[in-house]
Amino acid sequence: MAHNHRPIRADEGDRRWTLDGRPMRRAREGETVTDALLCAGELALTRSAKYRRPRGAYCLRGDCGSCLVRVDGRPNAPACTTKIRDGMRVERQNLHGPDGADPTALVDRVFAGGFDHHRFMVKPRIANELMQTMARQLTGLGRVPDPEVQVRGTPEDLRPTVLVIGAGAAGLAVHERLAAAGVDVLTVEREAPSRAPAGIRAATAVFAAYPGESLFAAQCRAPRERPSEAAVFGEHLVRLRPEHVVFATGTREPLLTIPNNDLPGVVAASGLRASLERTDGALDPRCVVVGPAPYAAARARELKLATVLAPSQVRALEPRGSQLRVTTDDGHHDAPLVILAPPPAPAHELPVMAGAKVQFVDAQEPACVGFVVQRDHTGHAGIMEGPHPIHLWAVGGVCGITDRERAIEDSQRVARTILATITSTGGSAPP
Amino acid sequence: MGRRDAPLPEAVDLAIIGGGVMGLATAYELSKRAPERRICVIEGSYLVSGASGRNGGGVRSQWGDAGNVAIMRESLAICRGLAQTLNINLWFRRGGYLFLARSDASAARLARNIAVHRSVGAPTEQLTAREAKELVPELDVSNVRAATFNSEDGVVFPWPFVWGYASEASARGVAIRTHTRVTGLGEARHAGHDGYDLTLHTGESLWARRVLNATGAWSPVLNEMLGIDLPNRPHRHEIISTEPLKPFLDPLVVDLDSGLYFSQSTRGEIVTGVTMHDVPGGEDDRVNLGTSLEFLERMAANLTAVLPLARALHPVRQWSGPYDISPTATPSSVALLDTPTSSRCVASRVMDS
Amino acid sequence: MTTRTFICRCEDVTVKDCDAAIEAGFETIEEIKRFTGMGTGPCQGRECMVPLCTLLQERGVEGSDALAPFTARPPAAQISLGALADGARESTAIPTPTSSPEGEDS
Repeated sequence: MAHNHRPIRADEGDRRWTLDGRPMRRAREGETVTDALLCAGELALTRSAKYRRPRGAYCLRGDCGSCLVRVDGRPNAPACTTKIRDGMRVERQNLHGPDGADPTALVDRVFAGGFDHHRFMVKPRIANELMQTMARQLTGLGRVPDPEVQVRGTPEDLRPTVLVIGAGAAGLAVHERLAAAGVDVLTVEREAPSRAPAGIRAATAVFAAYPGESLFAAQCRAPRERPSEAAVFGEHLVRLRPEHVVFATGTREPLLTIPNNDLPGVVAASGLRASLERTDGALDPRCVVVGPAPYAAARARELKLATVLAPSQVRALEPRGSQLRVTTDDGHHDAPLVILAPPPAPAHELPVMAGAKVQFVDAQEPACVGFVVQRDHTGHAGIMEGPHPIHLWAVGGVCGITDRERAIEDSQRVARTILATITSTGGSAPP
Repeated sequence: MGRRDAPLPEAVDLAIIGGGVMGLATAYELSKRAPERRICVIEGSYLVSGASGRNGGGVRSQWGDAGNVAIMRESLAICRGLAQTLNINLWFRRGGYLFLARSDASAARLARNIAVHRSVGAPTEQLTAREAKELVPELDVSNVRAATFNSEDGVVFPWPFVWGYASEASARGVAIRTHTRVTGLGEARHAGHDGYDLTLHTGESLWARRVLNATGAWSPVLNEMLGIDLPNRPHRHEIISTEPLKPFLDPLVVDLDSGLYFSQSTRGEIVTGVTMHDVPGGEDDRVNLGTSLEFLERMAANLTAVLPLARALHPVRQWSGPYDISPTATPSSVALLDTPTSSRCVASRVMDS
Repeated sequence: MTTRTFICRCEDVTVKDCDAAIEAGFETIEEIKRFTGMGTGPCQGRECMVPLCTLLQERGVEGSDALAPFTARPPAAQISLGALADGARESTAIPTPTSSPEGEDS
């Protein structure tokens, strides 16, 4: 799909990079690959596993997995969390044939009615074997890594009294309260903002809770700046053995089920807002926001956009030249981006791995749709059972508290309870 | 192909407890041979929730004794046309199995095995380290002493095995009830026949002339209800799959010295696991479906030693499943490896009884 | 381009596919995940689980109190096998190997 309309206009930086060997607009410091792609109007990154439809980035913040690209010879790097390094080589994956002329795109039209992969071409055996061989060639994402690619790092073992996961408003509020009281608190944040608040460990993503070993595990990514080490990826494992864990993992933006919600150019609102902050860019005002009323209206205000549609109003969504055409009963809008504003969904996975209970909510209050962590009136969300039991706490968005002020208030309250617990049990108490 | 609300008869000739691949394949084989028999399958959770849905999908004939080799070769032969028989894609791909030995002891073991394979006509080849590398150029074979390869072996996607057997059995009148636990089991007579009463957690009950315990690693719970004490016990195995890559790896590779295995699925994921010593929670003989960092680190260390390019790959999911292990520490049934053959044997035994 | 409405973009699973799975008797999130493949790709449900829950509610398949997420498993963020392997080298308590059922030959 041709896409050269630029949804974001931003000043050029000084970092040179290439897409499939082509030099692109220079990126500014701190820009991610998807930021730079939005500024360049290059939205299609790959083709989908089954129907071979063009796909691009959606969430823009490391959750959805649809923007995987090859970076400096390494496959399957999320474009949305990879910062542009001077001289970086970015390549699209899983394309057959030249851009825009991939013959496998026919699959989408041939199987317009969809197909059931369980019963597809089962008989006769010879056809089945041929189909499987072809399917194997069409699926899969990146090619194997280049031989010179290296992953280098030194693992760490950390034993803070309190581990806070997430440095959004809620996590920061807990961190500040505990740090002020002299508690040994470590707050980790998966994103790598150019200016991380003091005492926060950025670019460190907790990827698991392991109850049987009483530990949490995180990946820590080193910034990649040196052109001489283009193929060296600094990344290591952090083993965390805290006494208390505070989940401040916040919320994310899942997909909304409107027609053709998979097209390149359909992106999530909050992710896009963060992207605009990094590029300091201006969003094309013709972009359209789609979502249930309160969320869509709020996101449109933040993005300074005028066109807001409810999902039920969208009759059709189709590529139209380098833009997307949204058709409603009243006419149509041609938009460089269609921005989805779903109700936020709590990032519940880590608490669940640790043994916290969740409940599905679908409500305006709390303002989210998804699985919220269950906790008692003090904010305690249970204990991770294992050789060394770990207290679990949860604050903010992951509990369904999505209003910023309320989340901060809630976090300060929970921090006071944690402080009281630590003090009363002695041992790890602050002086 | 199995429902929470599937009606159950009040009395059946055979109640199969456990809707895994063994239970469903046996139901299917019996329904073909004896369509007049009333058969039901009762599954406590959903189909593919147990070991049948948690394994790595390897099917091979390279075993150490002639009996196992013969069973597995027959299974592989059945596998070839099984997708057509069950009318579902099984994604069976004959990429072969490549065994690597990095110690003298393992090399000797491969030499013994190849003699056994040849004695029953299995086309296993002895390879040098260099020949192994020709087969999979991405391997680091610097410590490899010997290798064997059998091109008839392969991998399948395990879930459709279960659904395929379930659909076909259900089309032949087998009642398949899911999300229903058996809470009581005792001997009882009905219409002049010896048999068993089954009580279900839903409050229902039924009588069965014969009961087949096909709950695998969960079987001690049922055996206990009948006062049967068998020495099998669950053994947890962990496994991961990575983000998909374009196809580069044809065989499933086994490193005998570390217990590492890896293959590439049709979708492109590297599916890999490694042996661990026994498991947290394993001592009380209950199934434990947890995961551990210890496994993940050990698996990664062993995999990247044999397949260095894997250092730059990412797992997308880590999970676990139970083997049902006999006292000799060999699996009494290695997930679905032998199901096509074993289910026929079990079906014949049930028919005879 | 054909018009499709997706629940899961990683594995190209549409609303229609999920409806077909419900029709075939699969009712829980774990079952629909396995039968359709939704949630088994790189996003591991982060993008598609909530839309599926909403669909199940709309179809009246499960009351909202019965909805449970499919099992949360590591990794919830990207970690490379190289970083994990280096972790093992530094670990003191890595057990010595024994043979596995996969490597077992008796």
